[in-house]
Amino acid sequence: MAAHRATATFLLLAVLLAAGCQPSAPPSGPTGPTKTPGAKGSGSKTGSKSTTPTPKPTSTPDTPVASEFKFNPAGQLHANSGQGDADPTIYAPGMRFPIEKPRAFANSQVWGHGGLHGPGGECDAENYGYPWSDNFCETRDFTAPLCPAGTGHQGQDIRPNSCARDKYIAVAAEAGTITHIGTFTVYLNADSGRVFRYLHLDMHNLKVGLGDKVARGQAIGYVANDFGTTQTTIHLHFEIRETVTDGTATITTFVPPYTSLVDAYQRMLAGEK
Amino acid sequence: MEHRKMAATLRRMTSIALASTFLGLATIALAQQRTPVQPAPQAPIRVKEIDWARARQAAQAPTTPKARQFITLNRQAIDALRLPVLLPQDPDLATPLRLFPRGDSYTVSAKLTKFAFTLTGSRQAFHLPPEAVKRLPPGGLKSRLPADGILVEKTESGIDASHVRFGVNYSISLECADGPKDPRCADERYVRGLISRLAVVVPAHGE
Repeated sequence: MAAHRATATFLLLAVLLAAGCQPSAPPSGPTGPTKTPGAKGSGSKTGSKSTTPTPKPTSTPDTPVASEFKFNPAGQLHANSGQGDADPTIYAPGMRFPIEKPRAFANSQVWGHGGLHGPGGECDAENYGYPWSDNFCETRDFTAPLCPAGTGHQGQDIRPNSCARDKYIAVAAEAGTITHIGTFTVYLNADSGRVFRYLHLDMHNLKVGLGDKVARGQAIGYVANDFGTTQTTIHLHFEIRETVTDGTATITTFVPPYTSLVDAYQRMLAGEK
Repeated sequence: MEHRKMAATLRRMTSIALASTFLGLATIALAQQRTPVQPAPQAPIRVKEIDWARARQAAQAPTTPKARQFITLNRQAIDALRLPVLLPQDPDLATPLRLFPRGDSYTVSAKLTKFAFTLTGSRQAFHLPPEAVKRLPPGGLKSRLPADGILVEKTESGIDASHVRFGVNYSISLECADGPKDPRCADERYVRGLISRLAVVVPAHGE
C-alpha cells in the first residue's frame, strides 16, 4: 500500500514538475498551411504605399497567452509573395526577442492588410494574430544571396501588439555597440560579430545614441513607421547581417532571421528575460 | 517478516525508478519540443591570413588632409586593431566620421543630412551552415559574386557593398532618406567609387 502511495506521489510530483518546466505556453511548432490574409501592403520603398495609419486599436488583449502562439515553418511565405528560404538554422542562438514584450506578430507588410498588395487597412485584426509568417526573401528587387531567387526581402517584418505608434519598445537582441543611426535605421554591432539592423523606429525618440554600449534587452527605441522622407506601416523591420563563408567565397550579407525570432519569442513567452 | 520488508523495499525502489524514468522522459520530451530546429552555427573564425605586405604597400598611397586628420586623432585606437583599416577619404564623409574599434573588427560611421555612411571591416566570418550551403546554386557563394568580387546589395534603406581585400572582409552601407531618388543609393557607381578611393591604414603593431 505504501508502495502504491509512493508511486502515486512520485507520479504526481513528476507531472507537476513537468508542468512547471513547460513554458507557460505549450511548445508550439509549425502549423500547417494557413489561410493567408488578403493582399496589398506597404513596407518597402520598392512598391510601397505610404500609409498613414488609422490608430484604431485592435482587440488584441495585452496579456499574452503562450499556448496560443503558432507559426508557419521557415520559408513558407504569404501566398504569391515569392519563394522563401526554408533553411531551419537559428543564426542568432540565444538572442533576445527584439520587441520588449509579447504579443508581437511576424508577418508580411506588403501582402498583409493595409499593404500594397493587401486589402483594407493596417489595423485590421488579421494583422495582429497568429500564426506568424516568414517574409525573408519575399519578392523584392533587393539583392539577397541566400534567397532562392538571389533577390528578396532582407529581413523579417514584425508588428507589435497593436497598430499604435510609439507604444512598444524595441530592445537589443544581443549586447554590443550602436554603430549607426541613420534617418530610419539603427545598427547594433553585437559582440558576437553579428550586426542587427532595426528599421522604422521613431528616430526622434530613440533611447540610444551613436557609440552607446548596450546590454542584451536594453531599450533602443519605439516601434514606429519612419521611412526617411515617407512613412510605412507601424512595424519593426529586423535584419541580421553576418560575414559568412562556404569555402568558395566570403561575403557579408543578410541571413534568415525568422527561426531565430521564433526561438527567441518562445523563450520570452516561457519567461526568459 | 524479513522477506515481506525486503519485498516492500523492492516495490518502493521500483516505484521510485518508474517515477524517475517518467519524470526524465517528460523533461526530455518538453526539451525536444522546445529545442531549436537546427544547431546554431559555430562562433566566427578567422578565414584567411592577412596579407600585411600588400596592406603596408597600399598604405603608402597619399591620403587627403581630412583622412590624415582623422587618422591622427584616432591613432591610438587604430593601433590597437588587428587588421588593416580602410577609411573614406571624401571630405564630406571623413569630417563627421566616428570610429568603433573591436580587436579583429572595426566600424566607422558618419551621418550627414538625409544620408548616412557606415563601413565595417572584419577578419572573422561565420561558417555557413550545411542547410544554407545546400540551398545555394552550383558554385556556392562565389556564384553570387560578380567578376570584380564586389557584392553590391540594394537594400530597404539604401545600398550595401562588400568585398575582400588583404584577406579581410569590408562592408559599406549607405542609407538614403530619399531612397532610390538619391543617386548615391540608386546608382552603384557611387559606392564603387567610394571603395576605389578608400585610404588604407596599417596599425602600428600589425600582427
